[in-house]
Amino acid sequence: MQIWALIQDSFRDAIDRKIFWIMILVSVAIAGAMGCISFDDRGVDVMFGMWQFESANWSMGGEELRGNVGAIVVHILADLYLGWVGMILALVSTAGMIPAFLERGRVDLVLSKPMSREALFMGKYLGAMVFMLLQATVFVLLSFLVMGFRWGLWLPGYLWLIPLIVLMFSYLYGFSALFGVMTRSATSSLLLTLLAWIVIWTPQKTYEFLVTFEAQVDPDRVWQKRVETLRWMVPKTQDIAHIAGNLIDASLMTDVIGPDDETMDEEDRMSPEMARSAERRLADVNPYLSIGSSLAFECALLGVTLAIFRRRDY
Amino acid sequence: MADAVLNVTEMTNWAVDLIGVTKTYGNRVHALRGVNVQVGRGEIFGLLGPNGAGKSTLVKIMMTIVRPNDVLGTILGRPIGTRRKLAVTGYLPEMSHFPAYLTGIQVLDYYSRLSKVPRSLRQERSGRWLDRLGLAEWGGARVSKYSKGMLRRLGLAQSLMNDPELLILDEPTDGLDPMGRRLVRTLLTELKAEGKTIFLNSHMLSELEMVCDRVAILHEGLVARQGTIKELTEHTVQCQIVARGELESARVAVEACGGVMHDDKILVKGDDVRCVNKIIDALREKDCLIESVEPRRFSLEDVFVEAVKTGGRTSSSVGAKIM
Repeated sequence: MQIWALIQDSFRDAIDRKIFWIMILVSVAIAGAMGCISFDDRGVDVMFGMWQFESANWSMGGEELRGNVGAIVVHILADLYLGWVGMILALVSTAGMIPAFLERGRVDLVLSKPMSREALFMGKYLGAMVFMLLQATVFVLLSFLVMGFRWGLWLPGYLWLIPLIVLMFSYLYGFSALFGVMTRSATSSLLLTLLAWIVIWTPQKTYEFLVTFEAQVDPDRVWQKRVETLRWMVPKTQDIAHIAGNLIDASLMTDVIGPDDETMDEEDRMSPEMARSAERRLADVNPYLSIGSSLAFECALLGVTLAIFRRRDY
Repeated sequence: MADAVLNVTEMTNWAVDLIGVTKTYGNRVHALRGVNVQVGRGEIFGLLGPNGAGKSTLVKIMMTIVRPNDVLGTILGRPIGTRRKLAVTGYLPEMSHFPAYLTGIQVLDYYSRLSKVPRSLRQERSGRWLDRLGLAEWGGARVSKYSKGMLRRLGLAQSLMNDPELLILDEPTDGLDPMGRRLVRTLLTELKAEGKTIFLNSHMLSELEMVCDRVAILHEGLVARQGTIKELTEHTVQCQIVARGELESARVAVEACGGVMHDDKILVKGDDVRCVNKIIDALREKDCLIESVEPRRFSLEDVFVEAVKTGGRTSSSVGAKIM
């Protein structure tokens, strides 16, 4: 009852913020924009016949066109939410939750209730996750339904984006919660979280660079090993985007193009670049190891945050 | 065996029994320096003190909001910090900051859920307390629209939602108009009649004087005085003589009898009638006209001011018992 009350309070807090509704509005607008596009044998139709884009270069049928455009769109949407824009919006929306909870006069009341500080903190933490789950569900589900009903493109694998967005957010919100408890300021918490994101992003991106240009940069792979060790220590936000891409590609292959389509060979099912890209991602990212080690870091971060919250006088 | 010990402990007559509460912020600020406070079950206890005396810190320690450096004793028979007892303790902080997105009813529901109050009781009690505190028509309005006094009353309703055995109120009448203050005083008296223990933290001395059975005066982190209001004021009688004429000529005689001259007034500490008569004789001898002779008892405010001035040392004018 107590944890649920805190989660519900966080939810009320979230929907009271304008940015929550702005994010919902953006999701609806994106889904609406997608709904204005449809495909036929000749090309793409925009705004219900207002504009038609026909092209002789599109020598493929409507089915194939849908599949390829759909692939591009879902990757753009995934990158939008799992990239800087979506996550920054989510962090801005939630950065004030814990500092507001710790305001003088408000924290006194909750700390005087028969509830451990650990449970109080986790209730607020889960509340932020519920907020993100709601936002992700609205965004993904709307675009999923538009793709299904308007384009005839049903991609169950695309729904994996919902838990992956929440997971990615939880990596970053761990920092936000820590800085929120430490500084009790929404602005400081947000800025420090963004700084932390850059710090954990650097070894991930450096690693990717070293893998790509391994031979040129460091023939002995000493630097790559060092960076790889560092990369394994931090939450792997970049991997989430790769994992999402892999799952979407897999869904596109099985649910749209079809594995038993004998008229197409393996190369035709995906563009060569897309195939190589997916292959590289699949080879690089072990989702269990990546997510497991990232969650371990997140748990450690939560442990530190809880230790500070437990010991502090309010 | 352990259970038996706990049961015996719970049977103690003290609702609050604090021994040697010490709190230092950082290494410099000594907020509390070994405070001992006892509050009997079913009584209204007032904690007084100037700003910065450590009142709110003491209350926050009782509510586990602040961690003491050192403390012994119990609250409702359990060691301080026992969360189970917080379920039957109501608390109104000095400054209640309710989430602006909640309505009055939602505030009561939210905080009583955190106190594990069942849903059926929550609904019944929120209606009752909103009505009792004059907020019945405002229950559905967001608290962002409440005035300061209304927020205070809502805070008080919040503290009562779990039907507490012990009610700890930090400046409960702060921001209330005279009608609101009277309402709170009446309510406190009713709650006392129901057997609840009330711990008041306030600097509204006149109000405390009206409702409290016992008080403690906290000064610079120490209890300067503690006892019933009668105990604190009974040894504080003084006599005031107003006279006209050449009072200066009688100064030596007046001061020899323990009188202190202030313009046309002479104050005689204590209730020794012989001293008063000797002073009157001395004045009459110098042809002074006696206009009035009035016995006067110290108010709680006088005791408070004296305690703060003397830093808790017992003076001849304020001979209260110190527990």
